[in-house]
Amino acid sequence: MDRTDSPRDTDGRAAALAAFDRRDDGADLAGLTEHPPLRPSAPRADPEPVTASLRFDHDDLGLAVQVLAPARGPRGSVDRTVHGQLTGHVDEADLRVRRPGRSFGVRVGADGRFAVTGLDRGPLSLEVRRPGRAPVITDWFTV
Amino acid sequence: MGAGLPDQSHETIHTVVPSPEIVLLSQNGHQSPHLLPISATTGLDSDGLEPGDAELVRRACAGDARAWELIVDRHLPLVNAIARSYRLSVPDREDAVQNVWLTLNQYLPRLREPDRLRAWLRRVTNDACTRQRRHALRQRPVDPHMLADLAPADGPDPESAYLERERHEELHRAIRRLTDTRDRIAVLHYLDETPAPAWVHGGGPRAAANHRRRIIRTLRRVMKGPE
Repeated sequence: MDRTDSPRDTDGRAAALAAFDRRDDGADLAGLTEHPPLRPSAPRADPEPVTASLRFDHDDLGLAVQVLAPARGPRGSVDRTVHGQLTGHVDEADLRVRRPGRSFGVRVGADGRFAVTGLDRGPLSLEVRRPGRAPVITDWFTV
Repeated sequence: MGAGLPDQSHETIHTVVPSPEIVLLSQNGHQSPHLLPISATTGLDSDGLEPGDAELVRRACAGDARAWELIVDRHLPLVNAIARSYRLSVPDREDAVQNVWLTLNQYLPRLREPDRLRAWLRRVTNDACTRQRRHALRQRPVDPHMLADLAPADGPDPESAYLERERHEELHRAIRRLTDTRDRIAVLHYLDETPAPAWVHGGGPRAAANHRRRIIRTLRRVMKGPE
């Protein structure tokens, strides 16, 4: 055990236990392939700055994602937005947003673009389902 | 991205609720024939031994929620300690830590060296916290007059800074082992750490280049160590 470990440290235990879910073991993983550093900028200059710009890839499928979050309010609770673009063979693709313990579908435009607004802070992952193919899930990231 | 985006469409929301009970059976209700049960109270296997990480990973992959619980209890203090070292706000730290466990759950059947789970978790936690810190810095409201004093959001993370320092120290240990004093002086100059003594370039550019090549070869030998 590391010297910094505390044997009684149980912060986050409930969330860690709840993460256990074997239902997506058969899915393919779209790993994070690009995470370009964002230039430091004046946070007040942009009311809804892009806090992360990510790209995930698996075979021919690509997912480019931007996370936007307004400057934090006094209580830190603000709605986040995710903009994204699917590329590759994505005709008839269904997109689902995965949050811890739940998921929901999102409409994708004919050009592969999508937007999810009103998100609570926390981890998020995306799942793409295409007919005749294994579902593809992205790594988890935070919004 | 931005203009002309389709509205989001929230369809049916289903809730994932892993069984809250401590169970010895897999999530699909069947005990794998090759896995002996772990005691729900002691966490020991039927031989009275504490299962190793690789064994717990194997059991968790087969759906054993008790094995996952033992993984969490064994490594949660490490993950929390690393996350705290980043001095993130409490919500940011909680997000990063939750991300680590969700990532482990996702990568569980794909771990190439499950016996090295602790090292894997250490790396993933550092990555998650670095991303979270960058994410948080983009949102932090600041006084515009203080912007010049802010550390850049994309500075090196602690692990990269540590590795860089290690490389620097290793190089300087090798330099100290050079037997020729003039070589030691010259190499520090070539690293832009000291001004050039007159004799370094005194023999002309060709002699200086040859000298530089010879020192580099010697340093490589010293850093490589005995065969």
